[in-house]
Amino acid sequence: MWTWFHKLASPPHFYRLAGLIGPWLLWPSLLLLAVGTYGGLVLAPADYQQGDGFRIIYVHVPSAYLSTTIYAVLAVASAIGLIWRIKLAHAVAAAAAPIGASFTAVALISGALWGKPMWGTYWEWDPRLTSELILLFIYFGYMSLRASFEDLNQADRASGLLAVIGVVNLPIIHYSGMWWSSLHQGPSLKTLDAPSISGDMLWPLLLLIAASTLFFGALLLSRVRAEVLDREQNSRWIQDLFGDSAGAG
Amino acid sequence: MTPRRQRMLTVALVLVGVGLAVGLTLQAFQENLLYFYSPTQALAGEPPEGRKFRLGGLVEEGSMSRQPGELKVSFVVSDLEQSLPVTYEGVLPDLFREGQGVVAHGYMEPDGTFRAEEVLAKHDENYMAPEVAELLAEQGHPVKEQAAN
Amino acid sequence: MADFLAMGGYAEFVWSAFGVWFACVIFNIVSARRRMRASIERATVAAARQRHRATRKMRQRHDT
Repeated sequence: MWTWFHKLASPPHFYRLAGLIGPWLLWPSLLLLAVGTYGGLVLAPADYQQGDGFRIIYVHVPSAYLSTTIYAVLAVASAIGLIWRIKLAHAVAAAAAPIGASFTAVALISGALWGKPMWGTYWEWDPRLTSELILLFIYFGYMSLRASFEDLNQADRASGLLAVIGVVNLPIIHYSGMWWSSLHQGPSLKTLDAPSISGDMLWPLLLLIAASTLFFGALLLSRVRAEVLDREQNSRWIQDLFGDSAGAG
Repeated sequence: MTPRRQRMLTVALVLVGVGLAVGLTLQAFQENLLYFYSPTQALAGEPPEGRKFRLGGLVEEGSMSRQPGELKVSFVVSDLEQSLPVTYEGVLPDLFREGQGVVAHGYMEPDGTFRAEEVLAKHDENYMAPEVAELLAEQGHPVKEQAAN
Repeated sequence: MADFLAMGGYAEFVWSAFGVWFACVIFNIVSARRRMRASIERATVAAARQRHRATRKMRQRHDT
């Protein structure tokens, strides 16, 4: 187990493996994304209360799910990087940040577009909405903290600590509806209970959640490969890999 | 081995410390974080006196009345224990229905009614086709009641 | 078709939400690609520089 892990965490091995797996995540994810979108926009019936306006759920829930899931990945990778001093883990965290920030923004925007017709407002300083906005700021803070260091090791350590501290926000987002009164409704998908969304509306949503997970996986692999290349520029295996194409200078 | 343990401990301690600090802060500000008050809380005088606050609950069935030709509406908000009459002048959101959740921002009038300056609809987490909802209603499962919290 | 586009009167909200979502998907693909290309370029330059240095060193050793 440990030898396997170390082999995976070795940059050249990871670089090769990720390059092989990447397309196998990206293309299926795009296919599922297309099917799920068709299901959500065309096949699912209109809601009994919200009519066709409820279809915003098909972009809002996957993006909100990605916003917190990606942060969890970022924080766990940072903790592993800090404790075991694995550079690849820091690379994973750094690569996850821009993806997570972009989907957090989409979750906030699609939520506003949903809130305006249904609730009657684009924005309220409601616990759930506010904590999601804080998540976006944490992503921005993480990225700008990284960018402010010249030295990679220092950047890894400082931003990693911020990422670990920021994880406190995740349970607040998740439970804000339960701990405090909130304008935001409760979850329609529950881990233990039956979902409170009927089957013909549910399957496109689940498909889109699966698709966005795969999509994130593909993006992450690609971005970590780029991170690894930048970090290992002067190592032997990169010269072997890219030396030939440049010709003898 | 020892330095790794130490780093693990440091990360864990930082996390516990920050978590504790945030938890205590939230605990201390619990009241300010309350997004809305229920009619029971409002009638018990929990919201700060003379200040605007949000009132949340269900619009009681059959309580809504509107003067013809006017934007003025009145309805009763209840939390299934107590209820509070609300007056409002303006456009209501699409999801404003009797039996559905609502959050009104405004203040208490001396006569004991709540004067709303803004009304937001709070919807529930149930999604289904209209036919399914009708079927459920016929079978005696009032879907709307679940919006109580 | 017109019915579908009208989205029961919620057209502007539904279509803008989906628009933002797909813009984000495409943006992520493009920026990941661009990032990869930039890193490959940097690696190629670094490898060429390294090789150049190595050959020069070898030549110097030859000359002296």
